[in-house]
Amino acid sequence: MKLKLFVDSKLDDDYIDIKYRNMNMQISQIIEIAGSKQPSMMGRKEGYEFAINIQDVLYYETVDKKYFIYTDRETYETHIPLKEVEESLKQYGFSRINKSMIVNIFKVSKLKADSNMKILAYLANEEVVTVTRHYRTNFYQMIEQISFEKKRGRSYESGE
Amino acid sequence: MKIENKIVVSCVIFTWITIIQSVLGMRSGENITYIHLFIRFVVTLIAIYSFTIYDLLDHWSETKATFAHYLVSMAAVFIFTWLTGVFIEPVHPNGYRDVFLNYTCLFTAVAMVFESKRYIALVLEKRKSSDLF
Amino acid sequence: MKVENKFADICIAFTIITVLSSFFKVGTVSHLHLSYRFAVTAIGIGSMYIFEYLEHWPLRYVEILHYGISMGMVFLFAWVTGIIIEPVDPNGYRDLFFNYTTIYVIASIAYEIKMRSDIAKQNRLLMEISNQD
Repeated sequence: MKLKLFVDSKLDDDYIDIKYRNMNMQISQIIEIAGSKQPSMMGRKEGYEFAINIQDVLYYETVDKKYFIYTDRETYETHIPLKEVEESLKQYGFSRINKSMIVNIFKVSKLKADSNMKILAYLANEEVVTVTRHYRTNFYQMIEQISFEKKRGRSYESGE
Repeated sequence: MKIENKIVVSCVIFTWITIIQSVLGMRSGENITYIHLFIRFVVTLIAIYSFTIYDLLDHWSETKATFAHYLVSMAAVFIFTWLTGVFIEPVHPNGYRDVFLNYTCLFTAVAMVFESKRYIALVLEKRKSSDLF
Repeated sequence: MKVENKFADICIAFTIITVLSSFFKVGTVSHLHLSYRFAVTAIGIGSMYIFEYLEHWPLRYVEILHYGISMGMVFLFAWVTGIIIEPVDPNGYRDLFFNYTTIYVIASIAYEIKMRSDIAKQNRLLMEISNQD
């Protein structure tokens, strides 16, 4: 798929024209993202680029200098480094939990301490990730902040 | 003057006073009573927590509020000393005088530190605003 | 963890131990003993940086390692002061071992209780967040 961008400062409003031969998954995803106000991040899978809705992301992980986004059913590779993800997704309820992982707090169902007093976070898809001591305080603060903002009626996910 | 984490500040000040006195008192070989340590801790708590008076006297000038703070906290310390005399052991004949002198010296030293910090901050701000112009 | 936070932690621990012993003991305590107490507290709390370096280790293993290292340092401190200041009492090392171990165990238990109650609190908040969705 070719991507062409045109800059025109005389426009009253931004708009997107999509020209396609046949509707496919990738195009319908682009339409969904373009028409939606939900933030998203780009990921790569099997040679295709996908726009992944932030709300669907379980966690982000870096392994051997490669970066991965995990949703409920899929895993995507991305080029966005950890620090950048940490900074930009903080406002959407993402918190760093260890050296290589940033988790979506809205996808954390519960926390538990194992027999070695390690804090385990159980995600919505029943996967278990570890919250290390160093990141624990900030992680807890983020949960408290989200809970507080939600009580005030502020939507955390849209970042408004 | 507002203090956050009053209990932490109380512990730090109590530790400093105890250690300084211990280091100086080591040579004399004297001992200190456990009651004295407990009283010292309570007096430190009174001194630090009485800083909340500044929240109530927001509209007063700094100097006036500091004076009021001293009077209120000194009174609280005397009351506490009298209570220890009633419940624990009678106050030494020079007890009130020693409490007064110790507390006043410490209060004055701390007030001077705060005051000089405030003064330095004011001078720096004035310098900053004159640099802008 | 910043150094000033560690110093505040040392002061808090020292204050708690000193005030509690004031409650349960009568009589006097020497200035030397208070100075030793501060030094031992500083060793115990100051060496807690090990918990940050060995973050990926299970907590229990790090606690055992920390206890071993800090107990060794406390004995070393007692031995050095025995040479420089005054000889260690025949029961000195035994008393040091029991006192330090008791406080260490109490502190570990308190830490674990706090950790579990924090987790329970966070789980309640997570439940609230998912209920509000």
